[in-house]
Amino acid sequence: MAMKRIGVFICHCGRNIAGTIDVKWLAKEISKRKDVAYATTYVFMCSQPGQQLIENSIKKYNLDGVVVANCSPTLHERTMRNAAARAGLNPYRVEIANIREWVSWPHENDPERATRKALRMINATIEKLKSNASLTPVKVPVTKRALVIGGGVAGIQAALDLADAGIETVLVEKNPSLGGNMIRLSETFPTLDCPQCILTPKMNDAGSHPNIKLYTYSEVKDVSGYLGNFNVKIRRKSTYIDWNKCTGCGECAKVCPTYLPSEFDLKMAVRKAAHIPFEQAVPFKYTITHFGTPPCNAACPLHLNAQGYVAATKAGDFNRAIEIVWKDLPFAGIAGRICTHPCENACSRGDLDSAVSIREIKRFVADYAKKQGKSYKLVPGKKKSKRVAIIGAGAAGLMAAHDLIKEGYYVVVYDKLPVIGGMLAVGIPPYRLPQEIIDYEVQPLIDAGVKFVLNYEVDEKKFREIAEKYDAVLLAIGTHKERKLNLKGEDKAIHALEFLKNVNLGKTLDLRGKKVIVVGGGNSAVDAARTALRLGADVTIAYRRVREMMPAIEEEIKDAEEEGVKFAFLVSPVEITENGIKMERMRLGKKDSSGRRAPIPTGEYVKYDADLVILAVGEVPDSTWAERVGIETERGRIKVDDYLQTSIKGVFAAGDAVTGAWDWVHAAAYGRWAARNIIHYLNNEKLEPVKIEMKSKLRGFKEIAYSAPRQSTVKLPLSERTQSFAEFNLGLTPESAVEEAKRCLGCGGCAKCGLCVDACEVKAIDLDMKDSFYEETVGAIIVATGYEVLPAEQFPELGGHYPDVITAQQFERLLAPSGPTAGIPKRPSDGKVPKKIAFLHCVGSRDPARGVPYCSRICCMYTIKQAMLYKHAVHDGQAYSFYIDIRSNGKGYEEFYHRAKEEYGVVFIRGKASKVYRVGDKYVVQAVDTLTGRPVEVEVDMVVLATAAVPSKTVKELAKKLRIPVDEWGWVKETHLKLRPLETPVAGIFIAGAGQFIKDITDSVSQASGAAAKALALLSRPQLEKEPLIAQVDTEICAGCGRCKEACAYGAITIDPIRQVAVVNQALCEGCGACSANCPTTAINIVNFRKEQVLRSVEILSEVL
Amino acid sequence: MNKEEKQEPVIVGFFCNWCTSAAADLAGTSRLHYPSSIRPIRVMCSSTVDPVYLLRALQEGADATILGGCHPGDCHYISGNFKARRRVAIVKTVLKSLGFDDTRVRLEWISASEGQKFAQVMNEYTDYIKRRGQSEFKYIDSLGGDSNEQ
Repeated sequence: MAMKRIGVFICHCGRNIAGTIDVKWLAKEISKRKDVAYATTYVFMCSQPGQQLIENSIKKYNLDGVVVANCSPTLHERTMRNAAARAGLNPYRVEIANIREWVSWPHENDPERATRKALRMINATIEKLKSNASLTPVKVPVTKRALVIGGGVAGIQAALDLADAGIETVLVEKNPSLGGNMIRLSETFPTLDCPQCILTPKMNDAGSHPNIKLYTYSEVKDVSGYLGNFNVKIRRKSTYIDWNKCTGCGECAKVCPTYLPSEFDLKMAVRKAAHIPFEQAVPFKYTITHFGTPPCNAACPLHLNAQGYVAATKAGDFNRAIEIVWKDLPFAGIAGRICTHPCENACSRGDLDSAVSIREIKRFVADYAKKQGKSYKLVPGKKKSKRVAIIGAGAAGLMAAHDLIKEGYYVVVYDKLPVIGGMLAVGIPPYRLPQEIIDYEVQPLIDAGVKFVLNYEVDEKKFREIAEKYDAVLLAIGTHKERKLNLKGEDKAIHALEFLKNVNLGKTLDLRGKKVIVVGGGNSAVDAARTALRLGADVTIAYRRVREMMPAIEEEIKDAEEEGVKFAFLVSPVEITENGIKMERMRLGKKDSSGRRAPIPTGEYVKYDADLVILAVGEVPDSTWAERVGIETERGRIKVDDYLQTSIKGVFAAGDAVTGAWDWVHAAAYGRWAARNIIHYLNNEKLEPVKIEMKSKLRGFKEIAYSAPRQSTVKLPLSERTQSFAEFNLGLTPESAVEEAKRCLGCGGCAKCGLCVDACEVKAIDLDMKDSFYEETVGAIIVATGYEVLPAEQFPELGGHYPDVITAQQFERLLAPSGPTAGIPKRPSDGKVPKKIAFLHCVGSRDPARGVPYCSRICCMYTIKQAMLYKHAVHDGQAYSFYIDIRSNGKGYEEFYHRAKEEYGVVFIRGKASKVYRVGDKYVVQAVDTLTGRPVEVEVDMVVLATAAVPSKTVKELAKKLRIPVDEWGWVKETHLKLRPLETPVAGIFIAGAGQFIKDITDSVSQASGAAAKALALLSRPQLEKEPLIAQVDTEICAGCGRCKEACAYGAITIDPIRQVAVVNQALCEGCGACSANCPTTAINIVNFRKEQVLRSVEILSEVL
Repeated sequence: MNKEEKQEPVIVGFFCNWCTSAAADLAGTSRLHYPSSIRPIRVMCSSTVDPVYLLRALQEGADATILGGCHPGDCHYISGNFKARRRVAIVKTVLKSLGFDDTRVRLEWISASEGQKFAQVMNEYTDYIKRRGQSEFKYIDSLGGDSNEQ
């Protein structure tokens, strides 16, 4: 039933269309069509007479369809449809041909072609219209609730207006308190009201209004649904404090040892990790900020809470610090002495000067506990029937034994050495790790029931017996076999391993007056060298690369140097002779697989005299017996799968035996994983793949770093050191431990030290609290996301990197009576009151090269205000203001500007500042005064940058969830800038405040009330009407294949199980048409966008002539 | 009035209602110029563009087609633009395997605020198609014999 009596109405739009397009000719051409009953033009079709013309023509010519050729359908489609409806024509029989935005304007320089294109577009529109159906809007129920996103002044106002009108309103704010940017301001222009006084009543109202449901510290996670029925998922970030219990007493903040830059004071002050943003916060509840796992904890293969025990040490609570270590690790004293501290390598204080001495802090608290007679309490778990044998009492074996006994398993540890500790006992010399410490820290394991069988060398036979007797076995046999170099005369040398073992077990040598050469560059080489030195020898370490490439721990090398060990670099052994060693000189070549430059032989030889040569060139596991019982190995190392299980089921392996000679902490970490998987194995659970590496992107806040060098430990005097095997490093003192801990930058935020947990009387703190999720259904949404300003650091040419060059927003905090300087501005660098100050306008605004092209609108006024307030605070001070133009267009604004000039003597210099540089402790602002044409230089104490305002960072993400458009900067795009500034193109979503574009408070509040009124208008209707342009199924040809269902993003399509055809849920369908493009039989179509309609238009548009 | 038209290429543009149509509006409002060779049709979403639309345009005489949608992740209909991307990829593959120039089907993400980009893309694409010359596809009589469908 194609239409036969179509009316075409062509708008002149004054000259906008008719100036380019020959509208009269168009009408003439169109009227030639058989299906067109009437075609005419009019100067303004949207005007009253224009609409009347359409109405009259419909009646007069009995039109069955209308095409209006005018502007974009976003502007007047509704106007024209309403006109048609008034004349009794179904509004969906009206179509718009957009010949203004799409034809006359872009082609204004080519009237001829524009006219022909307009004709073609009208024809295409007629072809589409001809098959349009008469439709009635779909009725949908409306949920009489609203959501406001953003708790600044606009959001608060909108929520209050809605709530007062009886609409239950959900208010979501990302920060812990309401208030937004406004509550940070010192005073407001032009009335000089204090926001603390005028905004807090509104904040309190919003906080306690019976119709407002407040979600602070929360984000909108997801939005689905449609006008009248939006489903909103909200994520409330964990505050780690139960707000139902929190009384706001502040005890948690008092004891919290972690300082962070205050977000509220824009880094002009510090706050605790447990904090309330400001005194008038709503809700008045404390929040603990935890950003995640700090780099130290992440880098630790055992993932100890390093930041935690450092934080407790900072607070002087050493008992708590050791408890934090003990939570994860019983061997604090061992780790504190010999750990290779990957934590310190990852420490972000290292970016600044040097890493926090985390290991020494741990050692200090371990020693402190020992001195108090305290030791780790190991409470074995409920006794289990399963038995586990561990072969090897070294780092991996001890860790596994601990974890297994803690779970209640029966654990026996076998070791061939006469002492417990493995390499810790015989590989590491006692001056670094006394046996007494190992024994002290192993004692709790023995007390808890771990059996140690020493001097017991496992071979094939014994292994078979053990395997028979126990439910699981862990091989933690370490690397106790020396690697052979196959040098000539190698048997004349002694291996470092053997040398150290002999000394450790009391078989000392007298090396007084002897010359000793140690070959190698690792920790064993350094240990052997320092041990030989203590036995009286003259020691040289010979290494084939250079010092920087030595794998040994840097501190150890330094200690060796201090003690008098000599070094020879770029030499590699060739032959060991009766009285020395022959070495070949090396040079450095290209990088090898280890990432270091490879040593390359030069063919030059050198001889060293030596009474003893010690080879420290690596160790391998002694695994020959294991091979013979059928355990697979690879170059001596025991082969394991991802779960640390060997080729024999139930036999696990860990530590150096698996990884090759490494260090204590990795061996312990593998031991722990092995224990974990053994427990899974014994309980018939799924094993977990080993995951030791973890990365943290968090970096500390340099702003809070106070300058302090790394604390050094107390060491025995050199003379004593080289004469004995007594421990040479005595660790930190209590004072230096606290000082050292204070250097921590708190990368992770809250360190979970637990001081606050004990301090909180109402037991509100839960450091394991997780984020919580909520769902709300609302009928309308108001987006009030606000703005932020560009950071000063972005403008180094204007001195943004100097401490006393700050943003105007930061300066607001210094002017605020509630701010860190109590309203008297002081320089961040030295706390002096600035006697001369410069305000620079348009920093990044109106400057597409360095910032944004637009004017940030509020800066002129707040800068004038700040200059005035500065004069209030510093009577003898002088303020200079560098501007391009003063834009003071608001009620009372221009008068305010004149007051600043005339009453306060602020010097306004018309000229944009081009450079700011430092001279001594002053800053010089360079500009050209455009009124006199002369360059000016002004020396000041402080500079305030009015940096450009930009949308909040989170807006783009949020806009995606809401499916509303934003412009290239991220400002939310309104439906029409002039006429529908409060609406977004998505029905039911409105905008308020600076999220749309920068506004002052007056405009934000007005817009908020406006948006609330818009939302109210929608929510006060009993039912809402929805565009009926939705999918429709021709059940005659639908095959029920379900491809439309797959394409639908809204779940609006189901397949009727009986009739085997697609069924569309009218309320859910949004009318995108993805289904129709997927349909192989053209059975599903969007009404009035049917495939044949579109194709007819396409055909017209594609014609060449 | 149709003497010179033959020299201008014909490019049919399918523009989604929420992003690219709005960008075209903005380009017009900002009086940005681009050639009249672009012949636009507004569709609700890029995902509704059936491959047949693109082929039909080429078959009926267009030298090229351009499909404009919202940027990935910004689709008004959640994921319609991804579906469009897949369909365009298929059309291109089909054209290529039949020996036709697959650059005559183009997909662009142009958001509502990118009026400038809209005009720029239309200018560039017209120049490009001009250089490529007329499409050969229009000389194919029918695509599998459904030309009598109407």
